[in-house]
Amino acid sequence: MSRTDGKYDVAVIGAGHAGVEAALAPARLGFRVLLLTLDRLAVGRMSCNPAIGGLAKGHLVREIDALGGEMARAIDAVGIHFKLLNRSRGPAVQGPRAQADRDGYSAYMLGVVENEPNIDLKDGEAADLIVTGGEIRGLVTATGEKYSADSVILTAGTFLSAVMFTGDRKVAGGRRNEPAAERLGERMRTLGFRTARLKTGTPPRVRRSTVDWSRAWEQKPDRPPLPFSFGTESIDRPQVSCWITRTNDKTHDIIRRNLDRSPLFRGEIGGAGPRYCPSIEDKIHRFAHQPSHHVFLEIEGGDSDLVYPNGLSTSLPEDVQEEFLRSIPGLEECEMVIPGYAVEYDFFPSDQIRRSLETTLVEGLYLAGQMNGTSGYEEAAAQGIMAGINAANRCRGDRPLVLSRAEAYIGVLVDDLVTRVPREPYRMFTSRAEHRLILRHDTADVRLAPVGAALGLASEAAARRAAEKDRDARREIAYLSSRTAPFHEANELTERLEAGPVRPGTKVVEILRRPAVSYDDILPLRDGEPLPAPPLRREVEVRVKYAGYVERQIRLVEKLKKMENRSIPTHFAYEEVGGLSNEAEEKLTAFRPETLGVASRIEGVTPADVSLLVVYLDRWERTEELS
Amino acid sequence: MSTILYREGDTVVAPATAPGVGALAVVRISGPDAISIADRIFSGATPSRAPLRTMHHGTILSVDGEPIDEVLLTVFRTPHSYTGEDSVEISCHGAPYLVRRIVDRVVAEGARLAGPGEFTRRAFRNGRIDLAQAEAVADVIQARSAGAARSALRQLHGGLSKRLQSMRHQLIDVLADVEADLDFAAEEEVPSYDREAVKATLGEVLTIIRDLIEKGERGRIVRDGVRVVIAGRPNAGKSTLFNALLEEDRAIVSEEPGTTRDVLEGEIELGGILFTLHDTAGEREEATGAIETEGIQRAKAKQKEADIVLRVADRSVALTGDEKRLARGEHDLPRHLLVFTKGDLPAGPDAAAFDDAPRASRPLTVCVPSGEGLDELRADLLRLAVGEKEAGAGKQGVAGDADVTSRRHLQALRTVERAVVSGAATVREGELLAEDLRAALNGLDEITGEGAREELLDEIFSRFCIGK
Ligand SMILES: Cc1cc2nc3c(=O)[nH]c(=O)nc-3n(C[C@H](O)[C@H](O)[C@H](O)COP(=O)(O)OP(=O)(O)OC[C@H]3O[C@@H](n4cnc5c(N)ncnc54)[C@H](O)[C@@H]3O)c2cc1C
Ligand SMILES: Nc1nc2c(ncn2[C@@H]2O[C@H](COP(=O)(O)OP(=O)(O)OP(=O)(O)O)[C@@H](O)[C@H]2O)c(=O)[nH]1
Ligand SMILES: [Mg+2]
Repeated sequence: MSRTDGKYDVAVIGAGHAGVEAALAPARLGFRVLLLTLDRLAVGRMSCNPAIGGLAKGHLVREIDALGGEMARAIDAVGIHFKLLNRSRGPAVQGPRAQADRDGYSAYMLGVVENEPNIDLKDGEAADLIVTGGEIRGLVTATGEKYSADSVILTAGTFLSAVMFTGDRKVAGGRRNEPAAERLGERMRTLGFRTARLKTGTPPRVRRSTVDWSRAWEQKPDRPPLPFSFGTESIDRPQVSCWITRTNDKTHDIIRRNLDRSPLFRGEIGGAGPRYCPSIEDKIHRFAHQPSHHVFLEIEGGDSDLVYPNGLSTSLPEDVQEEFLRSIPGLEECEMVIPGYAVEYDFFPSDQIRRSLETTLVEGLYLAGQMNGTSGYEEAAAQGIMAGINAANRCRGDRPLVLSRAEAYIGVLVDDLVTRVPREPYRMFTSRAEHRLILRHDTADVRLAPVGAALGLASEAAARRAAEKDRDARREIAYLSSRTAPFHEANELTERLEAGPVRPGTKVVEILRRPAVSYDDILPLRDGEPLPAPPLRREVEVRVKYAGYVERQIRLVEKLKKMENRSIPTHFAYEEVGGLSNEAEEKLTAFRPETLGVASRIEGVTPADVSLLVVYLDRWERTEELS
Repeated sequence: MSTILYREGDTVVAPATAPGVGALAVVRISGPDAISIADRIFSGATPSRAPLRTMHHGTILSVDGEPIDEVLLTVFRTPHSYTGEDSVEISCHGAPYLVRRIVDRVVAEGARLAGPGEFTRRAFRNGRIDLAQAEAVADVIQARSAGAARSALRQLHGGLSKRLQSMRHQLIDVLADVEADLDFAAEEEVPSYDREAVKATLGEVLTIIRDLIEKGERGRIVRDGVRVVIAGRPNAGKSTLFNALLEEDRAIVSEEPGTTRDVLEGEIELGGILFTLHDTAGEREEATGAIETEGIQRAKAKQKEADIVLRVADRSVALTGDEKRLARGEHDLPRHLLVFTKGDLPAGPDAAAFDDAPRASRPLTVCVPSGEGLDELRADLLRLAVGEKEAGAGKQGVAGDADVTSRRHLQALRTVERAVVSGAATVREGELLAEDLRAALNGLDEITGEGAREELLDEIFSRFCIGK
């Protein structure tokens, strides 16, 4: 490179949720990082819902925290309504969620980034990538500055060739009042990358002072709030409620009458939208029999004058949006401040990345976030931190960090991406995790803090706390397993709880295992041993109840480990494997799975294909050895 | 998916002809130990000294030197064999249980059962067949592999496949309800699943599964026979009973505990069904020496493969806790039968406690010198193997077309059964119920070769309006 305006170890393009984590990880590990973004005031901006977490997403946030990321601390600092979802269901499927002060969240993230000495935050548009010999060397901005970097992480979100739709109005841009990034996508295509289209949408915002709250049903936040970060002691911000109202016949009539004015129904948007997050027009069309849908009225911040009507994502024309809003109880007199819209954008089908999130085409170039076909802040941040860690590992000459499906939701997310291209924006669900019971949100620290500490990203103290928590739980379970329940007390107890009779000699742990029995019930069956603290009691109870299932899962994981980890050479010639189905050959060639385990999960690859692969792998390795 | 991983360097064995009722069958052994194993099991010639590709007439012997079958044996040396490795091919009579016994005998000598397509895979790896041939064979593997969904399904009989399919759909429906509840009910307007309906569905599925298992099991038993393993403490009278049931003096009997060291085999016929009896070393903690320890290991291994474990307890001495529990019927082990021996000696205090119990809850007592109880024992064995009704009906019919008879499929069905039973007991805990339903579906998928990863989300999204 002839002239350069700066030299960095890692350059990150875009400072959204992926970009922030992608920049912080290598910076905290001591590398020089350039964070280039269109507008510094939009660092960590929430494009849509002012909330972090939710089922499965909350798991991701706590895993990011355990690894040493920022998202959990940010939401703990600016959260105004915390709620543990699914409280009435089992611990593995509970998920923390919190509404955020939208502006406060961005301001917090901007502060963290600006205070990180190893990050240079710059405003600007990345327009070109410098690639020589198949390896990334740096980037060039739209205004011509050149920066050299050993690794580049691309996290451009919904901005590549983005178009926003409201009724028949169509504007280029990745987010309201923000431009699209046109040139970078073009450059990626000339490098050989394929792009495809996806879409998503957001509801209109209404003025807080014009809502009649008396007509909505109040939902109080949890008291005390449960923090996301394992390091947060308490949540100090004043908490607010959230309100629920409903659509009705009138709302549905208005929408039905105007369906032909929706760009979705006129076929103007080609990209697929998320089925789990449909626009209101979609819901009314597809579930015509449902007379009403609920709407959550979420305040966008303590001092904010905006309300986010969760459930009303739409791209209908402005006048229709205004009309249907006012048909809803509580919103009769509301002022619509910002109309809702849909956005269609380019993403890179995820058969172009490896598990490290490095692209298969250009060494040192990583993709993370919405651009890989996912949706959601948490999914983006999870990829961001992984890309950041792996860019740093590349600088250090270390192997990439790959989390397995049995280790973390992050592992499930990445593995899903490298085995199937999302057909709709990909969101995490607990049902995507086959090892759901071992991936509880409250064990994220036990699972990942040691990984974070080994990297140098999470603190040793955090890892130690996690290890102590695990050790104490094991110790207590060992005690309960060795302690014989006093016969009479035990029978009295189980009779009262209708938990079946107890034989003499039964251990306390066996009684706790019964569904109707909670830890506090067995307190009288203990002897003088010191009582564990309440959080530990709960942990012990959960472990005991899940034990049989968890052991089965762990056995299965162990059994499959060898095949799971058998690696496939990067340049393995799938076309030489006779007998593969066309679909399997095509998919394997596109995805280039790194291991047999990954290969076996690729869509369209059957167990028979895997058998053949094993045969040819053997032969390939033999001939490689010979030559 | 799980069965595909092969180890290199093993010696493997499998029938090389399609299982069925052909007059002759071929068992193939391949790998470094193939020929030395042949030396140990074959009488007629010494295979390791036999010239290349010559055929020898002789007998395959059981562990205790009894003839299993008269066979023709051919030796191939690397690289001049189908697989390119040292190999032995044994042409034996086609009866499935003979083939199985020969294969078992080879396994007992240290070989491993070959996986599907493994001989071809070895052939290919050793350069014995070229790409074109490998492709042709690959097609066969593809068609045969249980995983290759549709083709595997087509192989199943229409009626059976329909039943499996309909169970699968029932389970997916339930799972979709449960998962929707877990993933969306907190945020969306998704109804909670109906516990009673779930219970009812699981009940229906269980009835079908149990019916399939029972019929399949009977079919398999008629075809392959029943493995009975005689187990118990030293000196309990196992070998004595073994000899009595065989009606010949096969095993050494002595008053010295720890007499039997290795596993002995013998066959009898009851109600038209073949029973293979295995006499094993007595189990005790304080085994004397390596040989006895090994014998006890083998005895335990045998019990794992048994269709019926016949546990023998000497009634004249004190019983162990395990024996007492078994005698009282307090166990959930399938197909365990406890008998008291030495009916002519006075009962010890533990056994005497059962004297007044009604026949149904009292272990059977046998006395070999007088022959007392032996007929009853035979009847009990038959009943355990084929069920009450069939035992009375005499000779068995062969398995019907719509039955699952492969050992692997039956195993999968048992997994399904366990999962469904466990699920029905945990309908209140959605996340555990989901776990059981998944295990049940995986079991069914092992038979039908399907997979349900995306299907489930599709099902949820099509049924419920999800999204705020
Ligand atoms: C209208 C809308 C509706 C949405 N609705 C939902 C929803 O309902 N549910 C949901 O889960 N998620 C929704 N999302 C998605 C959610 O906002 C994203 O998943 C998340 O923000 C992705 O994070 P990211 O870091 O990948 O990208 P973003 O948050 O989009 O950040 C990308 C950043 O990159 C910068 N950038 C882009 N190109 C360049 C360039 N060439 N040079 C320099 N900087 C660049 C941008 O300025 C921006 O700061 C919606 C998004 C939008 C826009
Ligand atoms: N009186 C009497 N003695 C018996 C009877 N059955 C076995 N015995 C004796 O009990 C002793 C042990 O018998 P085995 O059959 O060798 O016992 P085992 O269980 O095979 O013993 P190990 O091979 O050492 O484990 C021998 O002395 C037998 O003669 C019986 O019904 N009545
Ligand atoms: Mg004996």
